[in-house]
Amino acid sequence: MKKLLTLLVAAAMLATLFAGSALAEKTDLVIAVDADIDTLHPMDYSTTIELNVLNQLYDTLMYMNPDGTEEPEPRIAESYAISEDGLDYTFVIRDDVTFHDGTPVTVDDVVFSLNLYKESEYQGSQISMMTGCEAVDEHTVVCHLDAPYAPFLLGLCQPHIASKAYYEADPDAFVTSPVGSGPYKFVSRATGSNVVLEANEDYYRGAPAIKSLTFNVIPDTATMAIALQTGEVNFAEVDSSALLQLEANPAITVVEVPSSGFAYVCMNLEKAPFDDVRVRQAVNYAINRENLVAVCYDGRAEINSNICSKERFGYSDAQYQYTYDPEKAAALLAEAGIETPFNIGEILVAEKNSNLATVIQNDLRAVGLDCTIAVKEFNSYIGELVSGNYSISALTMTLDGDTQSLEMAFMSDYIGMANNARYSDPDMDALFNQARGETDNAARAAIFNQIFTKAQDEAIYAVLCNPLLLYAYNSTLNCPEFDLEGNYFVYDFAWQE
Amino acid sequence: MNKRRKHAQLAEFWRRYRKNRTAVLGLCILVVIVLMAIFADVIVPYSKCIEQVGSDRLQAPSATHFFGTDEFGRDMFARIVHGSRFSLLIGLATSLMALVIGAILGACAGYFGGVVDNAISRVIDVFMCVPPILLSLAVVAALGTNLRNLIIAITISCVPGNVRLIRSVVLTTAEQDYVEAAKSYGTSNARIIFRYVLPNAMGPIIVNTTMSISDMMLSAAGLSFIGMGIQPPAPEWGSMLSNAQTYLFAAPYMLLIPGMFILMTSLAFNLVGDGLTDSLDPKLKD
Amino acid sequence: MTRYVVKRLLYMIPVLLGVAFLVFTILSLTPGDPGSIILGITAKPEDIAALNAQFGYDKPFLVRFVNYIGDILLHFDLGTSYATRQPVIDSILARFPNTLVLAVLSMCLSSILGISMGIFSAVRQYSVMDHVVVVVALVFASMPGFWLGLMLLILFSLRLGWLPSFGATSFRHFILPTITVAMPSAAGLLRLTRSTMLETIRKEYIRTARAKGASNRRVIWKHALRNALLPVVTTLGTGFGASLGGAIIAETVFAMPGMGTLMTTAIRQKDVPTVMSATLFLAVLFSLIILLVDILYAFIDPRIKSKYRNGGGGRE
Repeated sequence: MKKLLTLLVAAAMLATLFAGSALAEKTDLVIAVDADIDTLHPMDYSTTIELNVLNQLYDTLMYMNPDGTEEPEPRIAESYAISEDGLDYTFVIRDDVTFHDGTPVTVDDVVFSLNLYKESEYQGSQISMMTGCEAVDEHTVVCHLDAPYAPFLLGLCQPHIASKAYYEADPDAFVTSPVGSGPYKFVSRATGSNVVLEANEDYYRGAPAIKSLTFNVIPDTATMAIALQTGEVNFAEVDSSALLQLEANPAITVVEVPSSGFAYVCMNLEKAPFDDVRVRQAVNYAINRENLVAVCYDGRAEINSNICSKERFGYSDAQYQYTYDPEKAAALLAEAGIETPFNIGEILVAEKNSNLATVIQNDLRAVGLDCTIAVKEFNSYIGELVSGNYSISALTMTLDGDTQSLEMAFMSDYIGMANNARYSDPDMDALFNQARGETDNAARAAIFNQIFTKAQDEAIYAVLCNPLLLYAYNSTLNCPEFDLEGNYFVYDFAWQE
Repeated sequence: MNKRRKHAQLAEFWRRYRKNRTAVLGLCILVVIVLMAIFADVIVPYSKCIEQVGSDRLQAPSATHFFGTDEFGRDMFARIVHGSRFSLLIGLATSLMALVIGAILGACAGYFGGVVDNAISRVIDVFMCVPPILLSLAVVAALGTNLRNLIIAITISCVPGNVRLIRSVVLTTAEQDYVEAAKSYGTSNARIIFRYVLPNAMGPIIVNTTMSISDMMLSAAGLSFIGMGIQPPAPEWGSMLSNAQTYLFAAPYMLLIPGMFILMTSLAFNLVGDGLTDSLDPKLKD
Repeated sequence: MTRYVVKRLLYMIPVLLGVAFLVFTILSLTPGDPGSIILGITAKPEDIAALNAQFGYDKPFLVRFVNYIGDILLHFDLGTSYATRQPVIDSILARFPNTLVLAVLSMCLSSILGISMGIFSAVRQYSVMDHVVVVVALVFASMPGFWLGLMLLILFSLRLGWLPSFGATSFRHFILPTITVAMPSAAGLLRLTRSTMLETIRKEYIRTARAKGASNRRVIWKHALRNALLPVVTTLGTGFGASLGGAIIAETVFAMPGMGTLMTTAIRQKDVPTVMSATLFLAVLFSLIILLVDILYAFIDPRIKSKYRNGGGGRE
């Protein structure tokens, strides 16, 4: 035992001798991610982590500036024009963009990429309304729509522009050793462990300041916090529970980025007593959101009872906000003819959200609604949720992109998908359809105002809060402002001199 | 066997057990914990462990909250006291079930040998190769989630190891002269197994079972991610411990206290197990 | 002996088929399909269906099973992962070495520590050192794995800065995970060795040996140890399984890409080919180790060895 310990200590000391010789000028960056990077396919990805890696490898036609103006700016496109009727989008492509293998990015690549993205099962409805896309000449691409669709440009910020020739030459290499159009080139990938990228010195916007970029997979939040403090990791999205420790460390900066994701209670409108608007309002008043955010998010979430987050287009303070008011909740229940204590059965919840359910159960009990908590494995949870085999549940969801994407929570077409309340109302469907075709921003805002006012009045969901995204990084790293959904572009990062 | 002889045997057993000081210590700890479980409602009402006081979140141990409060503002002392019921139940029930099944299958395999051994061993081989989480998932899929199924799921994952161990011990015991002697007298197989073979194989079996009790209490927490943990907000030490993991830096006592109780309980079981091994062994009358 | 080994190798075939069928069945029984798990709640039903069809998941259970086994046997093809859409064998080969190294290192460490301290403790039964060793071992055994791992991490990486906190690229990366996996099983081995040693020491033949005037040391090493190690050796085999289980925790805490984490993620994603292949891979390894243990067993216990000679009997 003693000998072994001595041996271990000796080995450890020897090891420290070789470690820790700091570089004079730091140009490399290590980013930690908490789940495996399963694929580097530019279109067929399914997680935010994969998207964040791909964003460094590939450029897009348009780019969403985080300045909050809601106006996408051209990236691989040099300029764009929208026809009077809003059906044709014409893009002029830059002539100085090359792929990492040296071949120029052509209009054919753009058409190929947009179509590949549109046809991918992995991607949502961001550009599904595009009916056609063609190259007019060597520099011009035109996209056609059947009907005007206001957020189409925003949708075009998603598809990565990839090389058609490379795809056709070797579809396997297209995924395993990608050739991109962005500021970073692919170097290597160790499955389950890391992805290494290097600076693309020929990048058309100028060579990036960070020369070597590594994404390391660290699934455990505590380990990630430790690795940040030891300096083995320079940048990571972290869990709120680790913040106390990280914020106390002067070498680490933590920023909070608002997100449009939301935590909410959804009630099955097809089942009593949640078919009664007064019961749903009572649930909204019964929950102490401030306490819930403190318990479940360590205070790192914006309290909001509106499904539309405050930074999003269409939000207005005029839309009703539910606040904690147990007396009002009790009064509404009495009005609805519910004799308390009333048993509402089970709160269905996935394991990761059981803390939400624990708080909600406690708040509901205080106003006379008793329930038990049924924790399910995630896959069976989702199955029961979308099939409507539940009465009340608590979960988190992200419906990002344009505000229009919130239609998935309300329109009757989405029952069995993201419309978990199983809400069906022709007026609501009509409003969303109207918003879809409206191209004037002021008019769109007015329609969304109608929608969210209606959603709040009918208390279709009991939205709780918008959790903040938390980024922790070395204080000597300069990071510009992050956009709403927290996508980051390492191109904009640099170490301080 | 008359009453008097039985009494004398017990006294003899106790005399030998008492000699082992750490075993006595273990027994004392165990008695305290079991009393705590039995009289939980007297010590502190159950409502205390589910009552959330938002203003009292993450309070370090103090005079009002002996063990502090958790992230919901619930009193940890009440949760520990009531948690002892669930944790002991899970630990004991699963270990005993795994022991009984393991003993029967292992003894049969080891004693009869031949086809019986082959059949049992191959099935056990199959089960040993399947990851325990998958077996638990199968229980969830087939039976649904509740405390009883949680116990079944943990037991299943533990049986194969027990069978193999007991089989190997029985293999050596079955060779002994007294077993051969019993066979030649025409004693029934069941009687030989339970009367001669198993008692003489008791040492490793008791050690293994007592060791496994704490593992069982911990795996209850590990299963929570497939929704198999105990139903919240009921308290249970293993899940208290795993929930506290995220508060490692902010509230280390949340991790320390349930950890200490699991540690003490399994320590007690282990020490008692040691004592039992020494004092129950029929060959050990020195 | 050779006959026995061949026979055991042949036994592995039905066992592996059994494992394959059992795992496949369990995966089919659990709710959810890979398409909806990958694409999530906002996906269109037709996209989910298209993806499932692409994976071949739309076919009935038995067809999928027969196809899967057929591909392995006829084309040596373990299939394509649903999550990465790359051959499963790539994921396994990337991770298997880490797990193997971790498991072997920790088994060595735990056997050395456990058996030696167990003998030490048994020889000095009821001494102060015996109590100290047993209690320290019990404390380690009663400690949850992730807790031990995190404590090591905080001490050696965060406070002292001696060892890396994550990854698997050098020997230094393996030190902390090895200790994390080894300590609990070392404690178990210690207790088992101690108790079997104590039992054997008291047996007739030991007493006889002592009475014959053999030295204490000789009695312990020559006679007692050999018999005491029998149950210990069996647990080494199952202990390897346990260290794979412990490896899952160590792999997660120390962000080490290994079979344990591969399997748990794949189970959650319902990535059938990955779960199947990883399980079979480990099953083969596991069966081989058990076989090795059983052969070792025969060398230690001459009574059993003689059985193999007498026609390889049913007992192995």
